[in-house]
Amino acid sequence: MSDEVAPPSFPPPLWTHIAEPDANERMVSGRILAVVQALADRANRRELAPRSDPGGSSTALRMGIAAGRALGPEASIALNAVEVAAAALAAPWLRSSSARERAVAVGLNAVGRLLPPGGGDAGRDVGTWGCIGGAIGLDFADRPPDRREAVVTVAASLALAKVDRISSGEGYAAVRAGHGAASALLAVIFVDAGLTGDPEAIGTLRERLGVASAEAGSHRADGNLAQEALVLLELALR
Amino acid sequence: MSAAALSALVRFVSTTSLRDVPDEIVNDARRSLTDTVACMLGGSTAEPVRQLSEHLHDAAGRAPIIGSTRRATPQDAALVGGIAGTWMDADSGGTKHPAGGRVPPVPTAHPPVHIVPALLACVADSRPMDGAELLRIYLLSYELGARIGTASRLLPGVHPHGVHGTSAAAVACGLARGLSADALARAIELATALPLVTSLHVAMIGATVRNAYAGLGARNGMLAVDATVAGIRAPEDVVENMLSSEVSDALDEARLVDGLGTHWEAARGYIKLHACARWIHPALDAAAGLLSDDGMDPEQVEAIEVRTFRFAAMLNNPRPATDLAGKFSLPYAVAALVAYGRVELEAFSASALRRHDILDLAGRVVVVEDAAYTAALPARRPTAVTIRFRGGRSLSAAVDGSRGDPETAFTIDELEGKFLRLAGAALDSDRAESALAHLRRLPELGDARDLLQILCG
Repeated sequence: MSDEVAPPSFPPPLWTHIAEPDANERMVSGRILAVVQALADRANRRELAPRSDPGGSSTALRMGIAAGRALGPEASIALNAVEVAAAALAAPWLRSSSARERAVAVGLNAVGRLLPPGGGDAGRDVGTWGCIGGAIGLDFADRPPDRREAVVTVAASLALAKVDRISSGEGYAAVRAGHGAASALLAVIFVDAGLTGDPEAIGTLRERLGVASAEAGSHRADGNLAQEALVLLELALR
Repeated sequence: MSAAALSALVRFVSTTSLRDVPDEIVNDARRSLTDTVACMLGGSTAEPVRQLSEHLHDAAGRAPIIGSTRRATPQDAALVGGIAGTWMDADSGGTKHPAGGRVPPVPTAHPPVHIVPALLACVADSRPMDGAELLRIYLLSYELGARIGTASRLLPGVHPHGVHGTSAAAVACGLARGLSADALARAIELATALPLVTSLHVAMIGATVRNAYAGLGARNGMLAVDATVAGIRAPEDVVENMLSSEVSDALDEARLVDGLGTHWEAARGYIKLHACARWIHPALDAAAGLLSDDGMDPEQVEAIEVRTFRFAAMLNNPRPATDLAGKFSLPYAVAALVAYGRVELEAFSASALRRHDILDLAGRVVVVEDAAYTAALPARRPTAVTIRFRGGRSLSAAVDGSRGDPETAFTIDELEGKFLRLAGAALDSDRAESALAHLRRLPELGDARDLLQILCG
């Protein structure tokens, strides 16, 4: 096959590193959910509100944008948390607060393993890793490996290309967060419907976003990502 | 893209009426819109699309899901419509890049499969419009999307869906909702800032998430309009950023705006009869001339040799695991052509993909790259096919490309035959005939919602 279309190699399965969240992780996730809900309710963006949405993705989009607009593009990690939380709040199959807390904790763990080290870059990191992490969190259950791979690889194919100079956009980072939230839901729905993904999808995504696979890892998978995101979210709520 | 270029494009799409457009261009647009609807209807019968329709169904939904009795939010209807329209890989494509462009030759853009799902969803949800207005919006959106495609080159490995088509969908929705010129410009900028990270590799290995790219592009085009109305703005210079480095490069601004209203890129796209990757079409055209229209027993064929250019020769997996993988398999597609007489819905069904006789024949299709054929790209796509039948007889044919480009256009009968077969798979035959009749006289249709009603099962 031509080198022009050959993607880079794929790292070990992401989900193998993610365990059941502990009580503290769930507590932090619960707070994140509450703040994201409050930010979305406060914004009350009628223009983006659907009347009915059984699939949940339009709701996730609306909540992601509404909550995201309370943050700036510099709060990249908080925007990732918005992606994951908005998806969990909108997912019709997550029927309890406990289920949503678990989804957010797992999702942010996954985001932490995907994020490159260094500063947040919302134009690269929002609408991408949160989409994948969110999908993993939404579908976190005792699943066979091929199902888990399908969710990850399908979600990775729904990510947005990166933009430069995101700070000059008005609300654009929030739109990326909304897309990430909606696409996390859609990834699970697509897999349920039988769509398949590309095993090289995350490698391809990293290459296109200009992130070497060696740079990504467990730097932010120690729970601090969620805690940092919560601090930024609570600041935005004041 | 400079402010002046964007302004010129917006002025063009906002002020051009069908009366300003030559009849042959209007007819071309009506035919490609009709063809896109056919692909949406045919694709709506694919099992994953049916499941999506069920999952996203909302009886109170404001938009119908084409080809079904289901309804959904306009955004979900556009999403499912775009997925359905892509599923068969029978939807029309953009023009080849002018002056050669990058090799492998990838179609520059696929605006119609982004525009039509979004536009039909808007028709259901927005202000009423007549058929002429629907056609006008479709044509002008297509023109903008096609111009973006030919004015830039997709980066290597980027799949054309879900990239430039998002802007075309945004124009369609913006015009349907009556956005001001300024708001439309902002929506185009925002849509340009929402391309997916798409991959040709995904399609070539048969990963069916590829079929979601255009649906998401349609949906994101609608999002760009909604978000613009809500006061959201794209980052500065994002169009330049995206078209000059992030998803495509070599942006030629003159190609964006030169000849607006006199030179129509929308009329330079191709239409497909073979429901598979365009690279394979020359081989199918050559083989089709040697076979019966009704197909034949694959066991009667001893071997098939295909000499073709590199990128078709690469599509050499004789045992595809999915329908999409089959559409990127030259051996499988040729074997299915032998069995069915055409490469359309049934050729990639689950049962077809398990047929031993087709798979055995695919294993007897020998694909060889001819360096001279590769050197002829992108202007020509030469391919030669030899079929050896059991009993010693053999037949050969050679082509310089495939039919469906404007220079080698299909007849009206051929295109309408495709429409009726695909529409008939989703609707009953009377409804399929009625839909075609409505589309034939689209400019005279008093209410575009009449068309929508017929397109639902």
